[in-house]
Amino acid sequence: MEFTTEQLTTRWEDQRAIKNLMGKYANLVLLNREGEVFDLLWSENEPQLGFNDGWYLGADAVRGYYDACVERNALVASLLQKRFPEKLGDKTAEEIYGVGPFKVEPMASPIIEVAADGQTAKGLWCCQGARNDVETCGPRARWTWGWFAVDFVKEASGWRIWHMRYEKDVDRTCGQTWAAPEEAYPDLPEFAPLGDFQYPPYTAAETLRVLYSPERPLTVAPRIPEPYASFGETFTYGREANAS
Amino acid sequence: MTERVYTDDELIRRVWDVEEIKKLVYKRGVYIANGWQERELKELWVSGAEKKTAAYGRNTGWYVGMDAIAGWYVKPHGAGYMAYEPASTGLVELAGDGRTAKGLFYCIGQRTEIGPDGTAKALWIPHKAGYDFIKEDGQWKIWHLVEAIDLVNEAGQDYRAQNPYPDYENDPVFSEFGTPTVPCLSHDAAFNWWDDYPPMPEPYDTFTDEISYGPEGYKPPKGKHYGAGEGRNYL
Repeated sequence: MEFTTEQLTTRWEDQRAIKNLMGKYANLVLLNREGEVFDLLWSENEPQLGFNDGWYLGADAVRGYYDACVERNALVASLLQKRFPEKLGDKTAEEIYGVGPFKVEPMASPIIEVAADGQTAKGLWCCQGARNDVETCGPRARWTWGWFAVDFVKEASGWRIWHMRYEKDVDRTCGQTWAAPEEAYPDLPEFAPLGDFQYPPYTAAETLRVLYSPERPLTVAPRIPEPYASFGETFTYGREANAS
Repeated sequence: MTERVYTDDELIRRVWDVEEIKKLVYKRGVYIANGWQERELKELWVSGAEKKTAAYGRNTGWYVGMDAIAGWYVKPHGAGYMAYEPASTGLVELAGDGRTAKGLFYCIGQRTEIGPDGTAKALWIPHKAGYDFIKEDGQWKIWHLVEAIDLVNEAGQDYRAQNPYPDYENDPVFSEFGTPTVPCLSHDAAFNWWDDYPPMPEPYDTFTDEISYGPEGYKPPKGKHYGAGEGRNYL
């Protein structure tokens, strides 16, 4: 595909906007501001959010996932407040919100293709992340390595996330090898309420990716974006129409 | 270096050249994750006149020529294989003439494989990667690559419990490199980055062997180092 000087400049700006969009995503998660993610970054036009074991399909389901993240963040903070009254006891729920979770999702090695028509784009990022959070055993740090594979759509307000897959290969306690079964830590009673917390059920529960184990067959990354003219001529990172 | 004046069109195309070069390196990371080493050599490396001068180096030397590179690099991968080599900190210099480019990246690498004893071993392999790129038929390709490994450490193990000095003959990550076309201890990880190899690329107009990340561009570090006979107690 041949482009004019002006088109090349616009396409570079599009690519920069898309990188910045994913940078904002990672920073909002890091700041425990998941409650703002959907309105700031997502398209409301049939969005799809996939994880290793299922999909949230549609605006209500995707928004519901992020709302649940906020709910869990608040629960973690309240449990830490009870555990550390001398440090946090006199704070309001609003003041302590964000205490505890530290979720790092750095977006590296971006491979981005903007459609020739400039209306959509695709991107693949490698994420060597770290999820440091409170679980029923108390604080635990995990390596969370995986891939963000994203379709974007350009709307009146700018570029928006349309379909996103966050597929992980590794979700393993730091300091332990991921090449052997994970060593469990004993539960602590003060964090037991986290065992009752549930994220909303997936709209479509299905396996997108299996975490690494020595027995796992060779598992390839999500498909690399390829140059394309318009979205109808390329593949989707969303749930395939014929998926079960 | 020749001072060149570019038109707006040339400037934006140079901007995109750098973008395409970074994308090439990032794609290589996906190919490695997928176990596509053979496809990597076929699709991402030179395939024209420079096939014979292509070079793939690590700490202990270079394989030269695509056949020699394929001879050690291409291996079957199956269950239990997982590798991450996301390139970051990209430092890319596009030649003034636009025909070649140089890049230096850092990579927090990880590789997990089933070993000869049938068990999986997960390794951290952080390294610098210096690339020379050349444009073939309008597409950027990898021409020379040298990966200077800092450390090989088993995941979940304490660094302090391991040999602090690299064992180039017995460590599997180093020994798998075998006997390259041009043996040379270009980066001795025992001395951290004292040897500064591969060095940062600098702005240049036209590629010469003198600045290559292949063996022809290697210059021994000045002063004291392991190769200068100071031994491993230099520090």
